Amino acid sequence: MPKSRASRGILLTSNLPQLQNLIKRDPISYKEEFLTQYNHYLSLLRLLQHSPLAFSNDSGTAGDGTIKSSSNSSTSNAQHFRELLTFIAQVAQCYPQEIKTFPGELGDLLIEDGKVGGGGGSRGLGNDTRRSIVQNLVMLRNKGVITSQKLLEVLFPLLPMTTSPSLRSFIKKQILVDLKTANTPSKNHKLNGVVQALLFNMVDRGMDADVVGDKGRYSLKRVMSGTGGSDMTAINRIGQEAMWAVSLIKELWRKSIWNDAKTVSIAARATRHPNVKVQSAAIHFFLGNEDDDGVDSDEEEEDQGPSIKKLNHQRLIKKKTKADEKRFSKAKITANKKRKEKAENSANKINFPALELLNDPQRFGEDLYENMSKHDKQYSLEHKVLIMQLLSRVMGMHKLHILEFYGYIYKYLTYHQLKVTQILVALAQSIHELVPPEDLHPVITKIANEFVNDGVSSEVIAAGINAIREICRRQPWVMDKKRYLLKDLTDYRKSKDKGVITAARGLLALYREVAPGLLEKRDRGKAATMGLTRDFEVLAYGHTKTDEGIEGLELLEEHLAQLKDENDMPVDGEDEGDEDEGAGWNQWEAESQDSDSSSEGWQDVASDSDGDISMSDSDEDDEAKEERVRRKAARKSEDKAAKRGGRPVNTEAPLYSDEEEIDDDEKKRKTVRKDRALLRKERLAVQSSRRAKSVATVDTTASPAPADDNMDAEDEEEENDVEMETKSVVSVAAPSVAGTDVSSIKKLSLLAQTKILTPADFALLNDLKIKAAQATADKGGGSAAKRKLAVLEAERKNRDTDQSAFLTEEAILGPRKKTKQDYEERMESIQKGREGREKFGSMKGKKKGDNPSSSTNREKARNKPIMMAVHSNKVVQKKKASLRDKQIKLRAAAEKQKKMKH
Amino acid sequence: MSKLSASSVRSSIKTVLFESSLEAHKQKNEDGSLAGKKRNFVETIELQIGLKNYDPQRDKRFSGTVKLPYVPRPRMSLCILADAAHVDQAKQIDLEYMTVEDLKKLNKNKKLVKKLAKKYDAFLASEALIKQIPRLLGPGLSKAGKFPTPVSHTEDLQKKAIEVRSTIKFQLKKVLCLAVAVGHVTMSEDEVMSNVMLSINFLVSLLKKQWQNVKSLHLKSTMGKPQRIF
Repeated sequence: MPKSRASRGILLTSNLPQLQNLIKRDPISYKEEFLTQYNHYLSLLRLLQHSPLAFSNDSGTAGDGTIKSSSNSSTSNAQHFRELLTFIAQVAQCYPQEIKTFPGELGDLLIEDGKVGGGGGSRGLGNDTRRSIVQNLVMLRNKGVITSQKLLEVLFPLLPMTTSPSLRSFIKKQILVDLKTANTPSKNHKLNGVVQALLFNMVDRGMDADVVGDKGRYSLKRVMSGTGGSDMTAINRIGQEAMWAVSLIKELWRKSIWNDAKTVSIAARATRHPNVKVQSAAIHFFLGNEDDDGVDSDEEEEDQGPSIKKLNHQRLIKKKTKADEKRFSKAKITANKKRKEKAENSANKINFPALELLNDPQRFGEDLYENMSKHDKQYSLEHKVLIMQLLSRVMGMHKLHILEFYGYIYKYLTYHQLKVTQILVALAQSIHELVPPEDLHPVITKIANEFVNDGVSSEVIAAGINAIREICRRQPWVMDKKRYLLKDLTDYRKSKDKGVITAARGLLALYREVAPGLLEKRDRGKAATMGLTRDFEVLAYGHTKTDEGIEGLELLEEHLAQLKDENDMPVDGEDEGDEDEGAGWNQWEAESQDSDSSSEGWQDVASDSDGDISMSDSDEDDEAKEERVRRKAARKSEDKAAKRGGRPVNTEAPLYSDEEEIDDDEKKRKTVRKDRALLRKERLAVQSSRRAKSVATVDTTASPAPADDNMDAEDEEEENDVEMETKSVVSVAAPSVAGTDVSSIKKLSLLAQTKILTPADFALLNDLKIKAAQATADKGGGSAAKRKLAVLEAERKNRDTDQSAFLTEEAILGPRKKTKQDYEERMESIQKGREGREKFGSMKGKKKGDNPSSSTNREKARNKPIMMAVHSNKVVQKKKASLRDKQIKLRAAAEKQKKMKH
Repeated sequence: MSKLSASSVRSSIKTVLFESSLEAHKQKNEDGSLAGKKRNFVETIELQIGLKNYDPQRDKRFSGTVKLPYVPRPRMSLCILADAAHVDQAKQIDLEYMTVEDLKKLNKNKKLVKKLAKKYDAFLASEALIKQIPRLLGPGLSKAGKFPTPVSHTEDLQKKAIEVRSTIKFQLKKVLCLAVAVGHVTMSEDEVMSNVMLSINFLVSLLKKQWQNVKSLHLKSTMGKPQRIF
């Protein structure tokens, strides 16, 4: 039966989803219907505003009689209200004019509701309605009806108000998502600024309240019971708000959505919040604990793309089809793209550690210290240790002077103190080279007296010596006036306990490196006595190391000079000059390793491919050279200049000597390159053809004069326009530092002043440094030399020498002998072993296999113990059988075997 | 930019020097604007460095000080926190000084110490005194990054002052760019050249991946236009 028009109309008003569908198709003609619904919403809203409790109890919580009686109608009202909200939000973008006030009304409703509700309990709106309002606001944001700023302004105050955990987590997630999307292509500074101000206010609001400690009679519970409930809710609320702010910041920082100084300053503010929980959350933010770093970062890990490894494996096993192959190659491409994108992202992202972005570290440190010392009695030990850890890191990192801290920590330095290892870590970490040694004397003495004596166990002694070692590593001059103590401590290396021996030896080794003068003569060791460790010694207090040049540059210089002598070619072919600067730069940025093949030879310096660096001049033929000449026109101007500078020297060949260092620089560099090429070749044994070519090149270079002239002529032709520039450059080759007042500076550092070191130079320099370090290490330069060598080698291989900047507890504890377990530990480990284990007993037949069953007779017979089997009748009879019977049996068996083969 | 050559550095230095010279003041560009301007003070030339591929969270923080061959900031104001012997020496060479009594008068007052730190560009201190500085002045000086350099009695004070004036420090802070003063506009081209070269080479040697960490290099006089050299 066809429906009449009237009935369809009725249907429309009651069927919101259908109406929504129609409106989306044709907003103009359905405006009337929409307005009807909108008015309906308005009237319901008015009802709600009039009596906030109108919609409560929708989830069926038992109320008193009156509400129960109206429960039915209110439930349906609430239900209808929610449906209307969803409907309006869905079609909001069709009538922007009509619903202008809609988002504002929703926001107000939520906030008002939160305020009315107060500390929880009976709330105006039901949880469902509240949730639906939030969802609709988010939808409006997604449709672009409201800005994310508006949304966040509603969500933030709501966060501490809501009592429903699911709604809270929903809101939190929504805030994070919203901020992330706002910041994805580029940072949205305006929104960030607004939100950061909001968060800052959330933290700041409770700042002037009294500090509530977490210990004994100062703890929250005790204070509460004393003052009564009203205070509790207020304090709780302030704490909650700030807590949310800190947790949001933490999350945003972890995802590096926010990584600016402003974020850090909010957290820094929160470290002084009166609520201890907020404080500790903020401190954890700075300490950046690993445990929450790794674990929950997975939730919305971006799509990594297909796993190539897995696909590869599958391809090995599965049947190979064309379609599969196609799929595989496609997956490879996408995976590559993803990887590249990721690398690019990570390269662009710069995230300093939070501690480095502190605005005023000294002030921050002082505030932390003041907070800790002022509320010493109120805070529990855990909390104080936490503050100490942060404070010490700030002090060490920014080289702060908070000398009171050493006085404060003094009283905690006893071996029976709880958490003493962490306190020792904090103490050691807080020390840097600018701490005056005198201020550390009491602390060092206390540690030595308390920890290092015969009345305590060996672990305590080890911990004490380790702590002293870590302090001395950072400020070796503490021992300057306490040599007897140093001697005392290092003598513990003759102890019997392994931990103590290691600790004492560590201390001794440290001083052998950094300040052997403080040790007794016989303790100094070979390297220090020979003066090999001079490089590693620590300067006196307040002195900073000022370099006169680049470390190891003299090695490079020597190497160049040596090469020059070996080659015995005072003047190189000038034709090489044009690429002498260029060659060093070759392919320094390229990633590919194909440098071997290309004769242009852009060599890859970054990688450790010391074998396959191809030297351009030796491999290439004349055509290539000419081509290069054309290409590198710009560089030529400089080359010409070098020639001009060099020419007078050429004519006066006998005068060519060491005095003309700078003049020679250019040439020397050329020589180096060539020489390296030759060396490489010897090592690698390149193809003979190539070698022949290189010989040819050497030949041409050996007769410098004609080549020089040729090149010069070429240059003149091509480079008339750059004449101006060339002239200006003439003086490059000339010694720019006319030794007036510079005569005091070592001649060696001239290299760094006259040429820009190319990537190739740095690679060579590193090689030379390694060689030198190797030599020192071989000569017996001690552990420091070996360590330096290792660092250099790691550098060459582009590996990270992964040293954590901060001290760990393990460093203080040192290596320990495994002690015998006590009863509890033993029982625990036993229980752990039993976990998830089935009951003992044979698995045979019962549990194993597809169909569990008992063992068969055949099985039993096979597994029968041999000593039983040999005495069985069957076997005995066989032994006793006559020769004939045996023969018959044997024949039958042979027959059977034969038959079986077919 | 793929590479840096000495000639391009030199031409940039020439431009920088030219633009703050009297000749540039007279000369005009095509559009009528001045080619440069001579200022009423000696402009400093600074080297600005942008870094890349550097992860401050993982990579070791680099910092290094190097002594340049020519003094880049001759007018840098120095003050020596002196003991009796150094007071006499300082008087001879017209170096400003403060004695222990002067320091004690500051009374660890934060404002006064801050004022002191602001007044001078760098501090020297007698070796005997240096250890007391944190006690006497509190954290003020090191907060301003001006912790004094110690001088012993055997060293020549004048020489030490020059050394301090010609020492530059590369240190990364909060952002991936840094700038150092490498000269001033009354220096000769060659002098600026060797200062610039040494600073560039030294900086690059500090970086973990050498040139691959360098994003850009600019030369610039205080009020002049920046010249990109890399």
